[in-house]
Amino acid sequence: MRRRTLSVKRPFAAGGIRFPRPSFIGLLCTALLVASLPVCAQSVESALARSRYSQDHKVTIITLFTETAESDIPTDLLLPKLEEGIAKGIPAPRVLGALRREAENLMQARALMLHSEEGKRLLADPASWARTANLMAVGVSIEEIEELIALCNRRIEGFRPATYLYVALLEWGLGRKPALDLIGPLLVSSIPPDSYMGVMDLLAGGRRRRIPPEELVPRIQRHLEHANSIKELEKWIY
Amino acid sequence: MDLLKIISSRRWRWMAAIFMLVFAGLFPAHGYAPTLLLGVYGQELFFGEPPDQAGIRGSALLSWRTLMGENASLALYARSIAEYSPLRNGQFYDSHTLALEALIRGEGRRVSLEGGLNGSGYGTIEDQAPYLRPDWRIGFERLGDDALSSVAYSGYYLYQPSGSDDALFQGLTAGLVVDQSVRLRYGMEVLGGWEFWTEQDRNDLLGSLKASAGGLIGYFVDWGVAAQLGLRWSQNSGQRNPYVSLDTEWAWSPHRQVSLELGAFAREDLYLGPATGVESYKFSTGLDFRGDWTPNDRLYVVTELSTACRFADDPQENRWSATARAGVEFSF
Repeated sequence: MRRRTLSVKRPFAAGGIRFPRPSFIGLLCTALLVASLPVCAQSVESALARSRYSQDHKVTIITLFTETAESDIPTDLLLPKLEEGIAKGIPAPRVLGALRREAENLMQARALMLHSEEGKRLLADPASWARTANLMAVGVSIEEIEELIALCNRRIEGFRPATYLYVALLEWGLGRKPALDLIGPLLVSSIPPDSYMGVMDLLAGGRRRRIPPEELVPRIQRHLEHANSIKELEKWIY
Repeated sequence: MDLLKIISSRRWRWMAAIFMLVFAGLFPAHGYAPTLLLGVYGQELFFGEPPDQAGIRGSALLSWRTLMGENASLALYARSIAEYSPLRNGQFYDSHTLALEALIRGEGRRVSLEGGLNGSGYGTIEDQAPYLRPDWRIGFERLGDDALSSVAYSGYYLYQPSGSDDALFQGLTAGLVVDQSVRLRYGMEVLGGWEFWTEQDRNDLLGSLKASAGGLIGYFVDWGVAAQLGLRWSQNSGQRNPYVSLDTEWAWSPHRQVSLELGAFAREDLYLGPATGVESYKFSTGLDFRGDWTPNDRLYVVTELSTACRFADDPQENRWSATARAGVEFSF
């Protein structure tokens, strides 16, 4: 129905419904912009090809990607948000707004990470960079992020799991200090980073045993030195 | 009552006091703060027969672990529950648990020594007669990067002063748990054991195979499921009791103030004669829910709901029950 209405209001070229004539110049602009984009341009273009966004919006989105690429923000970091927006059928203006905020967060995150040597090392990993931007987006303060980055100096690969755990601990109701007190020793322990989320289960298990989390944190800290798994920790702290 | 006399005797009390003093004095500097919990609840029990019971329940719990250096610890767990139904002839039930555990770890291995004493002076609300049941366990575990293998010897002696079902059990367990990720762990356990009914000169052999799985969903949900296939074989009479059971548990704590737990079980028992097929069967199933909320990690408001039912070929064995309980617990 919708296409029929459009076809009445907007005359299309003989090529068919997919090639509205007024957008021809837009298409040309798009092609030129895409040609000027590095590496991931094809991904942006193919993502947009799957969308029903107007040609004007497509041009604006590509322009945004071009500008962020010029600011040395990898297109890869923004692309998932665009794809998510398209997949969920979110209107282009909202997607554009989200992309702009994401780009802004990525720039701020980079500025923050450049303050320290640990941050510079993390910046080399685009996923850690994106995670830092995400922490800013969810409202974690600059001081907390700086502290988390500093704690990761001996285990860069633990940054993302540790920050996910940190946000979960705060959401669960643990204070900022005990949460950081827990994450520091965790990052120097031999617990694999993909098991960090198990610490949340230890606290919940302690709660079921009526041990307040603030009492459990020092016990976990004490045994982290000797334990190489969450299950091993569980044996010693209750 | 014999059991109560034993427990209340002066000699017994002296032994208990000396034990507590020695235990408490061993390594006080390394001990964690003990958990001491007192709870008071109101409860309503629903049965088909006899009539429903309203009552009160009190519970006390002491849990404590003390470290001996960096690689060994001693733990004490004691719990008492007393239930009183004033509207139903003032019936009184009780149950008590005392458990001790010594844990020693070495490079890639762990040894645990456990001993406990369970008992009831007036019987339990599940119709269990007064009893005393000491138990023990020695376990050895080998810790790999992604797996844990274990062997254990365990046993108990069930003493029932008013009955004739006293029994001594001894068994061996071997298990393997694969724990590659906190999101999913799974394991298998084999048990072989022997139970000697001392007053009936009866010997039973027991065997079971248990498969389990569990893990985390996200950060706040913990789940577990276990399926067990077992057999009890009474050597003297030749009767056999194969069974299969399934247990599941689910726990969710979205915030430190709230905890919700849900459990479900189902069990099918078959009773086979020495030369005949199925003589009788029982199927039991049930649900348990426990939820609590705390404003300050000291006071807990607790709600428990449980229901169970049993179906059997013998109509007398068919029954159901439901329990609703609400109360407060205070942690000192």
